[in-house]
Amino acid sequence: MKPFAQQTYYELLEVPVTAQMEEIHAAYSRLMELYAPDSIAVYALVDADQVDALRARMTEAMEILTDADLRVEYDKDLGLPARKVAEAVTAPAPVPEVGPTQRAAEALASAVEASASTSPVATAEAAGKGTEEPEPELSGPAAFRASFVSGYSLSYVTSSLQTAPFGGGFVGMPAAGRMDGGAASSAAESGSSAAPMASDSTSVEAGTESNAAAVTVAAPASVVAEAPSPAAPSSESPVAAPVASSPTAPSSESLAAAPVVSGTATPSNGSPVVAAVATTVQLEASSITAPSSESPSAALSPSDTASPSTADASAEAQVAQSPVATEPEPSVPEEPVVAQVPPAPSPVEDTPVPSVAAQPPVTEPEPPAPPSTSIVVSPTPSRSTGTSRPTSPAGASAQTRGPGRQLGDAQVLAQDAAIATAEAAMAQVSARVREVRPRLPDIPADAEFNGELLRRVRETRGFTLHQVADRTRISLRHLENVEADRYTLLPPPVYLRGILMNLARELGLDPLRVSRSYLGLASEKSGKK
Amino acid sequence: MRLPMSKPSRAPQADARALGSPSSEPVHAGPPGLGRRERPRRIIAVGGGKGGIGKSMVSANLGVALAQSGLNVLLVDADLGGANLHTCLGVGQPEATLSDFLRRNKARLEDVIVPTGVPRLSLIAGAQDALDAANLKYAQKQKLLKTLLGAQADYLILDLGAGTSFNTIDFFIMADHGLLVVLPEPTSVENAYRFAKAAFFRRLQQMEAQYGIQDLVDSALTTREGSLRTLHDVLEQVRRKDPVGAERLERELAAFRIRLVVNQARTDADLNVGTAVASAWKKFFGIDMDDLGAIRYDDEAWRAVRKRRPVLIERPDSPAALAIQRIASRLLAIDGTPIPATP
Repeated sequence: MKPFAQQTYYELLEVPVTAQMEEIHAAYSRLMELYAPDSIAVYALVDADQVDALRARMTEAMEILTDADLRVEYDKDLGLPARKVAEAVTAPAPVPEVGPTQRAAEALASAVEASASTSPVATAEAAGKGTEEPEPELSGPAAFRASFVSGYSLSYVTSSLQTAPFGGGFVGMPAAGRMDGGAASSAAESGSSAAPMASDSTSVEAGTESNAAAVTVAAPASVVAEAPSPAAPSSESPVAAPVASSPTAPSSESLAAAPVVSGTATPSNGSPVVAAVATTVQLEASSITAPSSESPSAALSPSDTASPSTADASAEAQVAQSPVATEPEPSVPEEPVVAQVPPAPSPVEDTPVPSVAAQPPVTEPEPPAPPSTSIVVSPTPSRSTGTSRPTSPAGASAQTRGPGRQLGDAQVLAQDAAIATAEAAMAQVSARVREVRPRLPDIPADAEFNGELLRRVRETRGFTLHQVADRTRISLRHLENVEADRYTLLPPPVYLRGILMNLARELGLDPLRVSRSYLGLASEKSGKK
Repeated sequence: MRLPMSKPSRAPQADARALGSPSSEPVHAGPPGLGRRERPRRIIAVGGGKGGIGKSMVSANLGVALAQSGLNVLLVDADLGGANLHTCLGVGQPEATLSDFLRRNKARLEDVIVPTGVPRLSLIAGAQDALDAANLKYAQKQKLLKTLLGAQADYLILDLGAGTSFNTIDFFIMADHGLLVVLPEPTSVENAYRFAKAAFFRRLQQMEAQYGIQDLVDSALTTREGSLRTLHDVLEQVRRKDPVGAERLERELAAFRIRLVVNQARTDADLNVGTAVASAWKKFFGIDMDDLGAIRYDDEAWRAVRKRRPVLIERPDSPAALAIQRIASRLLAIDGTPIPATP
């Protein structure tokens, strides 16, 4: 039995490693009740902050374990067999034994060919579902998760950075299942787009984006679970979900945060697969939801997803969505988008472009919208055609650059400020230390603490006799006598010892050494006299 | 091979209080000086820290339940300052009590055993006469402990008093089953935790001589209650010094199991307090607790006490009586005793 701080998430939640999603949720709510602050079971058992710590960790555990991707990643960290996890996470998947990479690759291939009717349909379904379902889901849990992640993400980033092959930190984690697959598959198709993607999405963003990524990943996860098809659609469904949700309900600014964030994160999940499927899905999705008012949004959703797929940039996603859903904040992310534009459009493909191009006007004639969407499109070809080399790195770089300018700046500023404060404090401390050290006279190890030495120490400390007398409550007369080595005038050794100890303590000397040394002198000298 | 003998690492005195043999063969593990005699196969101590939570009621009725299932049960009222187990059983003022045994050096335990009217259930009543009976001297306590270990019965049930004095704790940790009675209310839970912690560290203290961890245990014991060290901390410290000793210590401490009985559960949620407490205890303290089950709050139980009769005899079909029977059978199941045919 380990202390709870060292327990695995499974041990914390007291569930088997094969536990299904509902099981984990049930365990979590049971434990939350058990360890509620007013729970009788923990009353007077331990300190309140220990209970709080346990609760926080349990929440963390639940967050990780109920998210398909995070859980896969976590299990990998734990060294659990991946297959079991894959089964647990994507039970309904037709090919559960296959690793996520292979599945994604397969799905991707099928999507590219557009021959597999299931995947597009499924995605379309998911998209359709997404318009209705995720929106309520997002607002609640998303906010909650945001709060949770803010406290948690950084701590995990470090560990996952070490272990996760893609080094995406928290961002990489959620994406891992998908990124994994996507990266691998795209690599199979087009080359090594995985490496740049992964490497680029590392530390710089980890801090800033991790929040965003984590926030949404969990939300789509539920959608994922619902999607009956294997990896490809499932990874798409979340993509579609948030995007769809963003236009439908939260067009208001207040909610914008959640969907926007989701938009940013989605790409990281769905990136690879979606990119490929996007082309095929696009039409389907739009056709399905065409009659509804969200038609543009739905149509955009794939492209939307596609864009971030390569470029995770939150800024970009914001742009992409802002025109789609509400068009409230065009100003913010424009620069990064523009910055991204040049590299992106180069390999633009034909099919998505028109569709996308058609959409921006439909929604709003925003200046940033077209560029953003065009970027959006660019990844699509990159994956499907195989010209990815330039694009995916470009996207990835854009990815890093986008948030780097936006959020990263803020972070850097904050960091700088924090560092500055810390440095100032350090400087103060070290200055104080430096101040004191040189001031102390060199006292050899075998020095005799006679009155003279004590006086010198006191003077180097800058104390007057009065000050010392005030603080030590030793009478001035005694202090004077001590310093003048007038042993005969000093009180008996018992009292003198106390005086010397106090004095030494006040002067920052070793009380025992001082008193022993001085008393030795006193007894010897007074004996002589 | 008997269980105590299979653990050569144990010190002799620890041997004596180790789990008895699960089989029915006579076990000669009596302390020296008292002759070789059978020891009770199982000792159940009923404690709980707080007063008025039904320790005596649980003890009495558990004794009745075990006796009814065909076992010889000896109830001992170890609540020296506030003995009333006899009242719960309707025995009346007993002529011989524990204090007679403790004061007169020659008296044998058998001399103070009184029948209860329930077949196979006998009682050693608590001290009545002496007003300082609660303040057991160390020698008296040792004598009592040793004698009790040599008592002849299938089950020895110790009804402990409130509080966490060493007199109480030592009886508790001597038992095979430390029953911790708890009410689903903060005061009781608080005291129960305190009791369990005290018992845990007392046990540790007793073992420290074997492991050379006196300093560690002492420092752990002197820590403030809130930051009381857990098993993890203690083990961690011991491990740094002596990894092998830590292993053994961990094993032995893990064997120290407290069993929970939630009494007077009024709501359905109350029924789960035992599980919750056990779970929280394990989470933070690292030691297992068993939840033996909850006893519903039952006016019949209260009425039975008023009549000075065990509820199990007065109203065997009442919820409280049924709950106690369940607890008794659970204990028997833990001990692996096949329940004999009820008479």
